[in-house]
Amino acid sequence: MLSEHQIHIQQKRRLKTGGVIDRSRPIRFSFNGKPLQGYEGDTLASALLANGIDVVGRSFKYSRPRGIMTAGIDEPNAVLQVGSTPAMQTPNVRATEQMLYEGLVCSSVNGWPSANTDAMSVLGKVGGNVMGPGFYYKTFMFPSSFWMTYEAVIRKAAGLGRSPKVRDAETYDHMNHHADVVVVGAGPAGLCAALAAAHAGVDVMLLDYRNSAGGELIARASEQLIDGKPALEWVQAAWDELQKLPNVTVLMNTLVNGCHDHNFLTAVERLQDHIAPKHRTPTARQRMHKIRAGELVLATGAHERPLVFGNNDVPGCFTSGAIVSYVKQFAVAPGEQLVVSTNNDSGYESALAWHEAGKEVVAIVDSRQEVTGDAYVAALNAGLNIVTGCAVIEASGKKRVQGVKIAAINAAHTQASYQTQDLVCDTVATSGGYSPVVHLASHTGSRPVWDESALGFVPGTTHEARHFCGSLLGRHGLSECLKTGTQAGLAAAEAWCRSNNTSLQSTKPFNAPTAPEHNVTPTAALYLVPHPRTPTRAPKQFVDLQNDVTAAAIFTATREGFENIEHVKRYTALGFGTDQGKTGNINGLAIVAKALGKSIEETGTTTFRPNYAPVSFGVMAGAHVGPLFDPKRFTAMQQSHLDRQADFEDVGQWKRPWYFAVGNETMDEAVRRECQATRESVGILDASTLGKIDIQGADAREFLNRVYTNAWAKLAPGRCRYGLMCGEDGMVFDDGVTACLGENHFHMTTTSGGAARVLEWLEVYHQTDWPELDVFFTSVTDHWSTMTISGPNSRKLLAKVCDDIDLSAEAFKFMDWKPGTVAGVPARVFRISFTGELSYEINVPAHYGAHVWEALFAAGEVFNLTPYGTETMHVLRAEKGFIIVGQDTDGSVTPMDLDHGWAVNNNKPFSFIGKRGMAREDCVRANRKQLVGLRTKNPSVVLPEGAQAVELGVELEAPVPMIGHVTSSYYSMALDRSIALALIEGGIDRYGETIAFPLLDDRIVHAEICSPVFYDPNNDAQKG
Amino acid sequence: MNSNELSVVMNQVASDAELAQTPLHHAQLEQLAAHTQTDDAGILLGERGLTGQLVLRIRGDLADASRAVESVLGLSLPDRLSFHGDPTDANGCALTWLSPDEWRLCCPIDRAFELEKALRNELSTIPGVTHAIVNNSGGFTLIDLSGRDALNLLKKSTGYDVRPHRFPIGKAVGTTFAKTSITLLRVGENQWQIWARRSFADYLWLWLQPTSRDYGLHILKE
Repeated sequence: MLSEHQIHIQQKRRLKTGGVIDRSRPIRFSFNGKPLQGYEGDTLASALLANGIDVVGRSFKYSRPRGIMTAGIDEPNAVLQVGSTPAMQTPNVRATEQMLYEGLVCSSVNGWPSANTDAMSVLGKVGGNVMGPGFYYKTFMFPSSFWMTYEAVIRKAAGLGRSPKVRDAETYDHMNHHADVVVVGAGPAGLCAALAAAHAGVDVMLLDYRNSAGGELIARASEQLIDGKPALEWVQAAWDELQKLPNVTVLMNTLVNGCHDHNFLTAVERLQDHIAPKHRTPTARQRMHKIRAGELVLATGAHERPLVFGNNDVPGCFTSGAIVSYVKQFAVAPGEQLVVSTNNDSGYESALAWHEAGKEVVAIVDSRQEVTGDAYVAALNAGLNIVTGCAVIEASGKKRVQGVKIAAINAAHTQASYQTQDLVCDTVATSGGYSPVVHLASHTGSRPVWDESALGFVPGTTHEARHFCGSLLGRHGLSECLKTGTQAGLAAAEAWCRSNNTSLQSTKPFNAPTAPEHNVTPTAALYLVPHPRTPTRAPKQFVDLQNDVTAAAIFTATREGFENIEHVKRYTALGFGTDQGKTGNINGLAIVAKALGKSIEETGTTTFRPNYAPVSFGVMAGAHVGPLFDPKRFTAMQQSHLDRQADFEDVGQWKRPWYFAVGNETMDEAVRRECQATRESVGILDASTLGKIDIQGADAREFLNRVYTNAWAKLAPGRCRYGLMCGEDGMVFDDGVTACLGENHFHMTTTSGGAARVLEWLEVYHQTDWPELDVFFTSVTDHWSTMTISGPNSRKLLAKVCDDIDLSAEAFKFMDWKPGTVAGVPARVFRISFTGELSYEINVPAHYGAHVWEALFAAGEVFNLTPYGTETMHVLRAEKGFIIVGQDTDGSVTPMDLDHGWAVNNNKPFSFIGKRGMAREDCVRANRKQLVGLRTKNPSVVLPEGAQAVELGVELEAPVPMIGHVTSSYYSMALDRSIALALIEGGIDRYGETIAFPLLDDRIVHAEICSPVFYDPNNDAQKG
Repeated sequence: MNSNELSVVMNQVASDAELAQTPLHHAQLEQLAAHTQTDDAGILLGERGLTGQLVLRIRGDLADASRAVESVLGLSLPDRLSFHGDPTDANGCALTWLSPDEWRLCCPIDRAFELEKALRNELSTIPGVTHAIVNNSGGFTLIDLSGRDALNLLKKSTGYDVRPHRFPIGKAVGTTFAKTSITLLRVGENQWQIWARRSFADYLWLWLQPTSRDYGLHILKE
């Protein structure tokens, strides 16, 4: 810990008294490796200024030293890298908004190797001259292949911040809210709006990005009176009342970043950014609030505009409001001698604050000829030097202001006199008036409109349920803010009641507090301060400091034909960057207007889009990260699969066992073993993920007739049938076995990935096309655990655990189903097969799934019951030529293409979905790609899936006509050779012919086209 | 059961109750219950034991259908976004509206078969009413949620308006919950029930743990 004396030396710009900081609680931090100290209550910016840090970074293009310019969210320069460990890096933190905490580590984002002695400075200046407006477009368009190289160089030289390279150590979450009235901004207008709405009895939510209420009143430690008492006392009372009201929710440290359709707001709460990492709790660092507002009151205030003059970027140039805030709120006077340049009364505030702090006010330079307002009188009474009809036209100095030149300005504010006067000073405060914060009001497309009397854009008309108040309306007087805030709050409550058919539950109406009216001299329209020389010859006059956009660049852009404000923005980069041009945009478009000889109104604004300020990716993701990124669905047998060392495959959101390796087996070895065990004895598959839909109703059968391509009229209770579903275009989109449970009751199965889509498909057709059909669909996918035992010993295995079903081949035939009891559990057993073996699909309620599964294993030990996964399932079904929708089909394959004409019945009384589609000319032409089998000439070569087929002997010079591709390919243990399925042009008529597959590795594999049924073509096994 | 007799309605309960596992069986909540503190936990969570769950689909004259249902259950068909009965009573029945022609009956598991038969019988006698009943007892996990911060947990998980005056006791909705879908019932002053599909139970459990962290989590014994 430093001694009092050392702290004093360090904090050389700290005032001895005043401010809201706690001098008894020093806080250590470091900037660019330099240890410094501030006080509890400081922002990082105020602490840096207290320590006399003038340069916080280097500019983007010209590598000029830059210092802190504002005290708020609009700060363009003081964006720093914050974080002491690799896992806690936050780039581009506005120092003006970061509360100081013990041990804070920060550094400049763009000043390499250091902001104060920038090795890039010379390069940067050269580059800066090269990098005129439109630099990227002009210079780097050709050759385009060099772009990546250029970009790497520019990024290194000019980049802002660096993203963390390791996993974020902190967590984030989201929270949803609903409120009848939401008030954004807890300044005087917002407080009044919240109180007025709350008193009217509706649910109110109040948000502000600052850590305490009061808005500008706090920032300026205002000494104004509200209802006859000091403003901050009134703020405290209003705050206390809001905390007590049960129908009010207040969120501080919460910045509303997006205002979306239907008054949906996204806001980020900084929960722990102000806390030293070692004291942070496991709770989220930041929280995204998603707020649905009935009525929205925007009390977002206004940002002070700086004036644009020569060298206005030299450290020591501040906005006037920033000087007030640093002096009065943080007890920091960031200099000794101040010159104020202003076109309105609020510029005088900084001079008075400076004077009261015992520092020298060199001059107040006011561009207006006649000034009579209260502020002017107060400054006169304080004995300050006021120069009217003049403006600061340029500053001098490199790393710190050393003086200014002032010149007389004509009444129209268009010309500066050649006669200039030099003033010595180290600090400049400028005020160019106020720009209402219209961002949120404009996010959903409402264009702000120019208010000539306010010299600012104000919210335009909107169809949303919104109300505006306070400085946002362009009227900045305290009295006006209190009045419009109260009105907006009440209007919002009334509007909410109207649209919800209820009436106000007002107990005690809220009366607008009053504040004394002030005599104000109107603001002059001054943005770019005229200079005796033209903008291109005058010292650089910065409009957008973060992007190094100068007035000259804007003039150049308009001269080059970029006249639309959106084009100027993109050509010059005006308003891009992490600050989105909060200080520069209005000045920029005033300059565009001037250059084009148009009015600001005609020039218009660029488009305001969310987000208002940068948002961390972490808080966008919230808690939906890691294992929670996407839900994983498990069957009731998951623990059994884990116990048996399954490797898993994603099927939609399901986790399905892929294969069960024993010992050090590779996947290939495991799959061959699983295939062999199933073909020779018995294997078991968890098929619970299959989509299952219960269908009931008098018209259930008719409905099936219409959605499947085949006929269902004669399927008797107790029987099962395979069906294909097509889209209107006649293309296969799902398949599965459906069982007839009762005359009007069916159990449909779908593919695992297609379950939800099929249910929706059925519902859409029922609800929109055939609502007259009496049928109900209910998903029972999760209700049934499904386990398939397959192989010659499956009957014997089932007999060991089931004694109430006659399993004989005569009594329980292929494609029958029976109810019964398996391992003591009520079950439905379907004798269907996806392997070509004797096979039973046992369905039990899912809560018994694990028990029955294990019971089968216990009983199956003597048969070497082998669990198999999806890979073995794929091999076994391919050996039988059974398709997998989505693998062997791709949405362009008809049942005929699959040689599944047997599954299409064109004689059904009502049409079926896809009937007309598959009758289209293109669907019935010869030479369509058709599903066939392939036998490679070399039986040990397994074709890669996706391999393209060409005719044998074709010249392999591009373009080679391709005649199809491999859809499935495996090594078959049962056949001891490779097998493949493929879609080949006219393939069904080409059995016996040989085609070629030129592979990526230059091999050419020859294969013979054959029937896709490789194994047991007479179906003896599955019927056994 | 006689294997030659196909029956649409099936008793799906095994005689040995020990054979069943609830969807969150693997989370070993019973053991966790012993290790979580009760004193200052803001969130109390528990999974209900095996519950009979029948989906009722009814179209036509709902007033007539409701009387038929009431004659069996003692509960009439609830209107939209509501339930009848007490879903927290493991020995009772509760009937919840799911969609314009869909309700869910929760009942003791060993009554599901008997009630399904009775409901089918009653409903088939009413002219102009078509119906379907599906046993879905294995398809869902039922989670009890209570505690002073239950509302905060819900606000972190669903965009639905759960403010007490907008979500009164007796209300039920189908909505999103994190990245899955649920049915949410407000069953008491600060008591809620969450129904989620069985296959999403593990995801839900993974979600509920960190989401409760700020408030303290206590697992309730069944």
